Amino acid sequence: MMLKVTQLTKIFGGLKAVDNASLEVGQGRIVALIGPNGAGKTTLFACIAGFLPVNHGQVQFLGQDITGLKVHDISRRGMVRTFQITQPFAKLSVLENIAVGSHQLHARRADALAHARTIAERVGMPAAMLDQPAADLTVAGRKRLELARTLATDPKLLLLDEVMAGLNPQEIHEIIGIIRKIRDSGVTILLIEHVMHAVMSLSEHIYVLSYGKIIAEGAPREIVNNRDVVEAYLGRGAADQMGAEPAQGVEHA
Amino acid sequence: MNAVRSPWMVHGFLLLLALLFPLVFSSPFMVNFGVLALFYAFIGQSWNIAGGFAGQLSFGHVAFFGVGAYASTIVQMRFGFNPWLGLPVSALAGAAAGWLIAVLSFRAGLKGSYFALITLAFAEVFRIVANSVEITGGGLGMLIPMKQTVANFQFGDRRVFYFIILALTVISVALALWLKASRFGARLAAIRENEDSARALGIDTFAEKTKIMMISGAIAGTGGCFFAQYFLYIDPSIAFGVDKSVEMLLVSMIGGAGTVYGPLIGAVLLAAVSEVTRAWFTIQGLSLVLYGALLVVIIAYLPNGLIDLFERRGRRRGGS
Repeated sequence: MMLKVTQLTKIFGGLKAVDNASLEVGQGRIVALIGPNGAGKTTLFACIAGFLPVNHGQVQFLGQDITGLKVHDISRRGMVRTFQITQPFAKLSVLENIAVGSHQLHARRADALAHARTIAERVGMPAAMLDQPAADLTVAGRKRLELARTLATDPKLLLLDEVMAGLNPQEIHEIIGIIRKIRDSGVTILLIEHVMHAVMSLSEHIYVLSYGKIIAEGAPREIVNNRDVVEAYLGRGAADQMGAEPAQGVEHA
Repeated sequence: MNAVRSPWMVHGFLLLLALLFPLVFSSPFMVNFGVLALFYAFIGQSWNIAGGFAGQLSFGHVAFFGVGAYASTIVQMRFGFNPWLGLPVSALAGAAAGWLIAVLSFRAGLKGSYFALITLAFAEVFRIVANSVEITGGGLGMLIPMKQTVANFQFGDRRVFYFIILALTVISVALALWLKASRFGARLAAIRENEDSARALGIDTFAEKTKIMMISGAIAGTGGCFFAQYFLYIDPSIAFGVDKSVEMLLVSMIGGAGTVYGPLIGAVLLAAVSEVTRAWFTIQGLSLVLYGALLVVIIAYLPNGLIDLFERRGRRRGGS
């Protein structure tokens, strides 16, 4: 098992942002974590990756308990996250941004830069883009840069936090292809996503988070027909009103 | 990338100019000016590698300078060390002070302006301590007796000081060049730009920041030793005065923070302003007024520092 989260709880003041959530991600799979806005998805990611201390529960990565480890320790073990709101090293060039990740493997500057170039190619960044300051990138470019930087660290498990938000259909189509290629190269992927057709076409298994609780899990087809999921997105009673096509309701949520 | 070869020509040329300077301009005024400019460049580089390269903006960098100055003077005066040994002693003392301040403030998660303020506070605490304990001579300071022998780090020809501080400055520039081309430097740039991203990519930000503060502290500490030996006198307000902290960051920011040569350019300008105002006017502190005006102009028109005038290609400051 690549990742195993057991009964994780995260409390902010009086709010249980994540409430007794458990999930598993098997090696080589693409697993999605979905849920309405404010469900606690990003908080759960932050807890898994060590950015936030957990109040209760355990995170196991490759069979080892990593709960409470420092972010950089977890990252070096091979679990790396991206940020929903992209966090580029703004004044560094795109290539230098990626090379920061490459330096985890390559001590020499020249090696890291060369490695960064191959990674940029893998995520479909044109060579002309590499010398631009990261601050000048478009949203699509920044999302790709997030992906490239994490990929450069040679991760075993990628936590992708809404890498498609703000992209146009063409860009989404491209990034879906890139994510598939990354998985095919042997990297396991857990992603948070709101773009439902992407979730449906990419993921093999889906967890649904609502008010901090995992309310459903299963294959994409099972999830779209799940009453609880439809109601979580559209409100109580919505599943009945949707009648024969609950799946549509989820797709457009 | 294609600018890799030509810098060695530039380095050689600059070094030659610096070596010839005291031979051409041998008047005490000009030699003193050269020493001062290089001294500013040296301690400015100390601020620059922490503040410019790693984004740890300190307002109390004089703390390291003062610790170095006192460390070397105390081991010489109280324990009879040879003053040459003061150089490594002050470097170690400066590094230790850097470690202390870094560990305490970074453990507490202080960043940005909070870090700037805590360093300012540390420098003040050190000043007060130096003022009140016996080993530093308290408010009277310490006077190093005049005895001009080479073994005593005192020279009849002031130009020897010039060559010593030139050597130290060359070392500091070499260090900055290495940082620009190394993994450590790339990690520092990442930390400066976005600490959360740096952590996410596996960088131990606490360790890296602590390391650079120790290196920076060692440089400033060595600068303190040089200063004490050059003027043969230190007291708490010289060793830990806010004005020197301001000068260190001004040198770097006016020249171009985060660049290798910025502090050199800033230092020459600052030394010129300081010496000219001292020579032509009798108003005390006028140089500080001019520093302020200079900073305003620089921030308004050349936010990346004077180095922008030299680097026509408009290259950004970066990790490579």
